[in-house]
Formats: sequence, C-alpha cells, structure tokens
Amino acid sequence: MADHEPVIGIDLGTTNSVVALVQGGQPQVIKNRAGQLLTPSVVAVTSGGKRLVGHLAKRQAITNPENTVYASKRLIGRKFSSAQIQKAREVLPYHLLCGEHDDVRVQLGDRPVSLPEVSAAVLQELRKDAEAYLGRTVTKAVVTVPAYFNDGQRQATKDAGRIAGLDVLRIINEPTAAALAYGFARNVNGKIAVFDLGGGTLDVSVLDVSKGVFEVVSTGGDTYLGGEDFDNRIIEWLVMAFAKEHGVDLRKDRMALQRLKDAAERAKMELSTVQETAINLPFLYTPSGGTSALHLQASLTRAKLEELTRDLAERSVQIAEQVLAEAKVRAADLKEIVLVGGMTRMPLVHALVTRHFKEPSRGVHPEEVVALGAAIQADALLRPDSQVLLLDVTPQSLGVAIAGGYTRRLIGKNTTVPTSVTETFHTSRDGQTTVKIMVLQGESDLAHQNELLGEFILSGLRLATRGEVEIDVTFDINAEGIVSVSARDRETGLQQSIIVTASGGLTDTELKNILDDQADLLLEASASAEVLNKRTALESVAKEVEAMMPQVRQLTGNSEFGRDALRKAEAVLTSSKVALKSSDLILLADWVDQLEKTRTLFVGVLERLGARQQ
Amino acid sequence: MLSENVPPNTDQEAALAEAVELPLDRKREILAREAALGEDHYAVLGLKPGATKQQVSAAYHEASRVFHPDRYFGKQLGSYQGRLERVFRRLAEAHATLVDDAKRDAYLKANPRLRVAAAAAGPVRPPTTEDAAARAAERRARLARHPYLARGAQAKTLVEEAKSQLQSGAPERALGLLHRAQQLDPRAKSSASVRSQAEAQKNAERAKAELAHARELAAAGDGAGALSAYREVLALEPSSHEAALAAAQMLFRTGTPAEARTFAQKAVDLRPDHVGSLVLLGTVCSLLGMNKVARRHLESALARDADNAEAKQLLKKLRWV
Repeated sequence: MADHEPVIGIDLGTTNSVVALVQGGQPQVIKNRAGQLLTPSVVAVTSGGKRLVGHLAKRQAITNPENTVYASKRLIGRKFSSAQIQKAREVLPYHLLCGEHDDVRVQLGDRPVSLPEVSAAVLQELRKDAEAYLGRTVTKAVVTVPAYFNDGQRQATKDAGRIAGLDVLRIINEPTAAALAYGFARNVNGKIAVFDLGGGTLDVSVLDVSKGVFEVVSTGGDTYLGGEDFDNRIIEWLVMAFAKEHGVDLRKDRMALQRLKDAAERAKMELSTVQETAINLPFLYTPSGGTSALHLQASLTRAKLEELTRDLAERSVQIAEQVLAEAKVRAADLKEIVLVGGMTRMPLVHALVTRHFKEPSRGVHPEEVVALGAAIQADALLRPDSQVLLLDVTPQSLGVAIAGGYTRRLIGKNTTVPTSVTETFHTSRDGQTTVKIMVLQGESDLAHQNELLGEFILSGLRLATRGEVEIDVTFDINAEGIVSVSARDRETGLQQSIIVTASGGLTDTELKNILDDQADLLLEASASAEVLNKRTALESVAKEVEAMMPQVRQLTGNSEFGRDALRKAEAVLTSSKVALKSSDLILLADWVDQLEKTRTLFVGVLERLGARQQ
Repeated sequence: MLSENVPPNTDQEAALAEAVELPLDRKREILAREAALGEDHYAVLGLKPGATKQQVSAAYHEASRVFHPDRYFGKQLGSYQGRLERVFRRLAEAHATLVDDAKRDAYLKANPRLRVAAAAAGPVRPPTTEDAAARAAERRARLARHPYLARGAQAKTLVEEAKSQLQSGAPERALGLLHRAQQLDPRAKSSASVRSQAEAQKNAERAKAELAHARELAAAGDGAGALSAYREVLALEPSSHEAALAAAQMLFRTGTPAEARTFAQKAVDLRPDHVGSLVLLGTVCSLLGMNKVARRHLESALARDADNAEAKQLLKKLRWV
C-alpha cells in the first residue's frame, strides 16, 4: 500500500499557483522546473503561435498584453452577461468573447479559448512539474478554490482538471486547506481562524480541531477585496500625479497601464519590509506629435501606502469579525489565527488583525500553506490509516424557488456535508397538475438573484384546490459534494429527481470534444518531446566522439586495431548525422546506442594508451 | 459471528454477508448505529442528557472518525455507502442541534423527558444576561423610591421641565425651575448646561429688546441715550454688528475718534466684508493720523465695492499726504 499512486494537492491561485505532495508522512511543496515554488497563473500565446505558461508567460506580458491571460480565476464559471464580466471587460487588456451559452471565452492568438482550458494549461504545467519531480505519471489531484465559489465555478475548476488530464478527487476551500496544513504541522487542538487575503478575494474560516479531526464551523468573506484593490490604489495615485504633471491620462494606454500594474505590485511588496521605495518607469508614455517620451519617477513611503489603503485593510478585519460573530466564536476563544495570502504580509494588515483578534501565528508560509493543505487532504483520502479527517461544509445555501419569486432555503450555508433535508410544499394554484422545481444556490431571498443550478418538472398531480396537494422536496448532498434533488407527491408516491450538475460553462459534448482534440495533441506532443530529447542526446555524443578522434588516431598510430576502430567510428558518425534529420524515435535510439559504444571504446583506449605514454 | 442473544435477523445477515471492502467488525458497528438512528440526539452520540457542548463536540468528532464516508474513500462499499451517509448525517444533525443554544433549547422544549433528565444531570446554568438585566431594572426602581434619593429624582424632573420651557422660548421660567432644582439637590450637575443655555437665551432676548430701544432713541435724536443703549446691547450680545457700527458712527459724529475707532474695529471684525464698516474705520483712522492703516482699510473697501465714492475720494486725498 505504500506504493499507491501519488496524489498531488494544487493551489490554483488568482496570481500564482503551487503544487504540493505528502511524502513519508510530511507535506512539501514541489518546485517547478525553473526551480521556483510559485508558478504564475498566466497563460499566453506568442505572435508565433507558441503557448507559454507560468514565468515565461508572465515575463512577456508587457509586450504582448492582448494575448496574455492573467487572473482568469476571477472569470471562471461566470456568465458572460454577469455584471462582473462586463466590468472586467473594461479593464482587462485581453479580449473576452461570449460563448454559445452565455459562457466566457478568451481570445488567445487566433482562436477563442474557454476558461477551463486556460486554467487547464496552468494545471497541466503543475502536473508536469510534479511528474518531473517524481519521475512517474500523476493523474489524481485535490484542488483548492475560494470558499465563496459556487457550484458552477467549482464544476469549471473540475473541468479544467479533466482537460489537464487530472482526476480531481475533491475540491476543497482554500482557508480550510490552510487550516489543515497549519493544524497538521502543529498538532493544534481547539478553534483556529484563518484569515486569507489573497490577490483577489478575502476568505475567513473558523475551524474546530481535535486530534486530527478538522471541523469547519463557519466560512465567509468578500469576493471583491484583495491585493489587486491595494495595487489599484497605488496606480490611481501614480496616475493622478502623472496627470497633474503632464496632463496625460495613462489609463488610456494599455501598455503603460500594464507597467504601472507591475510597478505598483512590486512597490507594495517591497514596502512590507522597507519604509520607502522608488518607482521608476522610464519612457512610460510617448506623446503623439513627436515630442520626447515621458518618464515616471516617484517615491512611495509605507506611511503613504497605509494612508491610501487603510479603509481596505480595515474592511477586511470587519468582515472577519462578522464571520466570527456568525460562528458565535469570540476572539478570546481562538487558539490560533492563521494568516494566509500574500497581502497578509503587509504590516498594516498584520497590526489590525493583532489589534482586533490576537497575535497571528508565525511560522507559516502564507503562499505555500494552501497547497500543503490540499496535499494533506489528498493523502488523508487515500491512506486508510490516516489520522486526518476533514468535516467540510456547504459554502452557500441551497433552496427552491417558490411562488412570488422568492427563495425557500432548505440547506443553509455552513452545513456539514454529507447532509439531507426534506420539506413539504403545497400547490399554489387551483387545479395545478404540474410543479416546477427550480434549484437555487445563494443567500438572497429573491429567487432571481441566486444562481439557478437546475430545474425539473413533477407532473401528473391530482386535480385539487390550491394547497391541497402536498409535495415532499428532498435535498441531498453526498460526501463528494454532489447535490441531488427529488420531489415526491405524498399521496400518489409519484416521484421525480435530478442530480444537479452545475455547468462550468462547457457542455458535456464540448468538454468531450476538447478532450478528444487534446488527446491527439497530447500524444503528438509527448512523442515529439521524446524525439527532441533523443536528438540532443545523439548530437552531444557525436560531438564527444568527434572530439576524441584526433587523439585516438595519434595514440593508436598505424596499428590494425586503430585503423579499424576509426573507420567504424567514422561510419557511425556519418549515419548518425543522417539519422538526426529523421523523427523516427527507434532509429534515433539505435544510433545513440551505437555512438555510446564507440565512445566507451575510445575512452578505454585513451585511458590505457594515454597512461602508458606518460 | 453474530452474538447469541440477538435474534437472527435475515436483513442484517444479508448485509453482513455482502462482499464489500470493510472488515466484519466495522460492518457490525455500522449496522448497529444504523439501527439506532431513531434515538434522541444525546443517545445517538452515545451521551447522557445534559452533556456539555465540549462533550458533544468530542463525541461527534470521535464518531466521525469511524462513520464519515471519507474514511472509506475509493473503496467498494455497496449498500454501506448509503448506510454510512445516513449514520453520519444523523450524527451531524444531533451535533448541530446540541451545540447551538437556541436549537438545543427548542429541542429540549419539544422533548420534556430529556429536559427533565438534562436539568437533573446538567450543571447549574449561569444566569443569562436577560435575567440580569431584569434584576438590575428592578433594583433601580426600588432605590428611586427611597426618601433620600427621592429628592434627587424630584430635582431631575424639575430640570426636565426647565428644558421643555427652554424649548418653548421661556428662559426666565426655566431659570426659576433650575433654581428650585439646585436647592433640592445641590450636587446635581446635569442642570449646569441647561442653566447656561437658559442664560444665553435670556441675554439674547434682552439684547433684542435693548436694540429696538436704541433704534427708537436714535430716531428721536437722543444721541447720548442711544449710544448707551447700543453699548448695553454689545455687552449682552457681543456679536451684534449693527450695535457696534451704530455706536461707532455716533462716536465719530460726536467727535471722539479714538473711541469710535474701537467700535469701528469691532464692526469690521464681526463683518470683514461690510463696506460701510471698512470706510468708517478708514475715515476714523485717517483722522487719527494712522494713514497707512487707513489706506489699507479703504483699499479693501474698494476691492469689495469699486465705485464707493467716499472711499475713492478719501484715498486720493491720503495719497497726497
């Protein structure tokens, strides 16, 4: 059992992603092939049509803003017509298109790409990193998402996993994962609060931990509060100063805006450790009309940054207080408060958390802890003797639409899963023979403001006056988080049910098509990668052999053996050079073998004869 | 092996025989729990009524370790998949009810038998905040009825009455009430601010009356009387621009520019953009030989009213001095 297939934990972040694994009972982060712990969640297509992911994609973002997709997590699983997407369209440098069923597509290179495909590119990169580290294939993963993600967004993330060739065993919430990692490392017993202020969102969770059982008590947060809002304050400040000085609005220039964004983020990060930093952006703006380019030079102090962003930091702490109040937990009851997400490095955030709650726990790496938690959950699922058990909750309320356009909640948010609830409803009209059950997710009392997860019709009800026919509606969430809803006519026993599969924006056929397309691509890609490997191997051995030839000729002189060996070696080299041009893997491997033999022979000759000569 | 004293149950035997990836002991445990799902919330968690929240949480966590479906992830469970989920749901329901004060109280109310048992077993509940608030209110009412403290209460009602008199514009009457309150309870501090308000209101009223009187006197030609009335107004209402300006004009006319200047300055201080006041101050200053100051005031008058002939003429004259 020690050798079951490895399962990785992935933190698919808004700005950066991390992959981790439990090995020998200890979770650890896997470095990417560039040797870094964080892989930027950026995907790009170059003008040459080449797809780039991670650092390579991020590095060229400035010069290729229209074909570089970042922060796609803010878009995934949302409807194109939603207010968030319409707002995002105005600020993002890349182009968003409407898919066939109100889903979002991104124009990347010459074709529109769905968001699960974008995320899949990142997941695939992480998967390859894990495979390179382990030296074996990886097909299973636990992936984290923000606690506020609805079923559609979770499904879209799962789809992304499938496209990347990963079976996503479980989707868990980021703050939950953080608490898992923290509690696992410290052997904590008691209540833990997790304050996760990341690039785009704030998530707060409270967990009750006892001897490896992690019970999620409450979770909440704000979808529109994160590091980027802090960056935007700095950008605004720089843009205003620039406009005052030169009368130019930099926000109209996409390239300048991208550079400002990078500079603002860097300045913000630097100010977590130093008191003052310089922002220098030479040749930021070239006015039309041939005058010389304008440069931006500014100096930002920590005090100024805190002045610009104090309200944001304070709001984050207030939201955390609300979540604690909802969980009926006082700050004094908390055993630990764990800070997660890059933004919590900001001294102001740290100070406010300390003032409102308590001194945050140290020694956790805020950017790694989520991936580590995902790896721990992956390990706990597959290892029968694991001490870790996660009692997770539903992130959002589930209910049905009722007459008048309202929502009747059946399962409240923060209910432990698996769970099921049955409630009795009545017909609302005289002579009503069918009812439509619309399954909703969200916290609003108004039906239309919630997410519609699915609907079905129960028909064949007996003719009766309104309110006489009774219908039992049952909601069931199983351990995998799959929701099924059934409706039953109490009298006749007539029953209808559905398994709610939220749409992540792609239909089943579309997903299948992508997978099929990809299957061809994958096969091709992996073959060509191996061919490339062999070619380089062949080339390098050929060079070595060639380099040794003159020395061997000199040492062996005119001996029969020497002449024979050299003639053979020359023949092999010539054939190898021909083979280099082919893509036949077996042929290449063959010639590599032959050359290797020659090389071993030559090395032996040189060693023996060379030693004798000295 | 089934224990001998349990009557053979064919359903259970079939379930035990089911080929799933679970040890026999575990199968038995699950079946036993499933058979007991109808028990009360405490019994389901293996607890006695009246168990504390900590005990409920601990029992729930302990049972979850065995019955949460995730413990058997990826295993072939057959009918046990459903059984485990049913057991765990019941555990979660019991836990959720018993750790929430409101839900637990409602549950106990609906199950009187448990409530009695819980009350017998449970520790004495600390008084709730609601009880404490009711008791404090009663204590306050009792104290208020005490004769010694009654005077304070009476004084308070007088102050309240004074406040309402003040609002209806009768400061004299309010002051009378406050005086009585002061005598009843000399330590009452709350009346101080009301008193100062009443006094301010009274002064304002008197100032208004005096101002009217001064105007009458001035119209009748009684300069000296008017002047002293204006002075009185200013003493009561130091912010009266009209009184200051009128007094200054009168003093200027009677040929006492030094005194006139004090009042003119006051008028300018009160309304720095009033052209008449500025011109008067300038004129008075030039009479006193303070040419530079005079010029400044006249210039600022002209800045506000460029066509003021008096100021222009005077300024022209001053330039040649």
